[in-house]
Amino acid sequence: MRDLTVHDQSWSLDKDDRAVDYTNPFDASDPVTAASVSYTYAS
Amino acid sequence: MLRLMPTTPPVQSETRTNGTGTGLRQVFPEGDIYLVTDDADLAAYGTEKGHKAALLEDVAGLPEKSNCVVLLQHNLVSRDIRRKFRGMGALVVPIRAFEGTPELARYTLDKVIETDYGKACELNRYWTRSIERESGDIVFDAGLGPGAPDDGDDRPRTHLVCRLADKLSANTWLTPEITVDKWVSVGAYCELSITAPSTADWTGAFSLDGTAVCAGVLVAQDSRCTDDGEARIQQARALRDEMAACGEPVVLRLKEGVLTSCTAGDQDFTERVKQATNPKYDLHALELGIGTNLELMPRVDWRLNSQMNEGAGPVHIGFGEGITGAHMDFIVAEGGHEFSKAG
Repeated sequence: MRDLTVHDQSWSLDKDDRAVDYTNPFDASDPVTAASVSYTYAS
Repeated sequence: MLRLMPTTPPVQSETRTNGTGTGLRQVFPEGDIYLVTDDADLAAYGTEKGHKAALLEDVAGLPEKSNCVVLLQHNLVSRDIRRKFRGMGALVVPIRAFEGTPELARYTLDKVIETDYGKACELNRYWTRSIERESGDIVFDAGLGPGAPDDGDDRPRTHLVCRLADKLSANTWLTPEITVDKWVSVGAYCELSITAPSTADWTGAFSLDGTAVCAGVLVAQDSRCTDDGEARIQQARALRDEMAACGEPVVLRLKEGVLTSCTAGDQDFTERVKQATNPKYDLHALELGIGTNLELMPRVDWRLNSQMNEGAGPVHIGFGEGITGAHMDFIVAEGGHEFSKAG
């Protein structure tokens, strides 16, 4: 058995138009960690 | 143990799929669906195909809670663009992140319309369950699917062994419907993607060994691309075009997660892939992408640089992040898979 965490790469916006509910660490300083392979992220 | 991050719908049973209707109606079961784009010709093309269309600049005039397919042919994703769709549901197609020519835009729109999102999500659920339950490696092999090569055929064939960590994260979308205020990538439907944890830990999630015979190659750019990254992405696009023009499959050899050679016919592209994806990364594989939009495969033109090709083959391998260098995907379009026995 594996310990698997599934992220869905979806977004919602709060009242200040900040992305919330996302689960990819796209603000990480390491670009490999921050890579958004679906190309729909914006900070 | 399986953990679903809060915005992910629960995994469904093996025999039940969500979503009625076909294509985009599976994503947006009710209400009008608008193709919203930053290109007037693409909007006109969508209208010719029987869809409602609107320009990006006119989004504010759409009804509240509209269902939108956001086709970005000229713009990378930005916060300003995302803000326009507050109060709406959005299926996002980042055409420009790959290639924003009119031909690619029309082709990509065609594939977005043709995709069976219900079947793709069903496969996403299958992979989620299987990766959790099976302890062994995933083996992709040309002999495991339809059209297996003859034993006497001595051309390279795919045999790729994917070893996965015991604890791991994956990206995928599990049920078709997008609700109001959700911004979802079309790519998330078409694959289950596993990426390396960091530059300090390339093999912490997966390691790859073997041969991948690739029908298609994609080049993608992240919206956070650096100046050095932009230059490398241009190199990668030229490289990709050469690979597509040579008329031979691209053969990757990998050892312990590192690309040891990339050839097509008698041409060796290994060093150029290394430079284009950021030479500092030394050809470590960044992404293992398991394709789940397999229904689309018979209708794919592998020569094209469209995101919709990415999930149409059983597996693809990605190098580079699209930020400091190109993200290059190499797509296998043959064979099937099995899980090896653990231990």
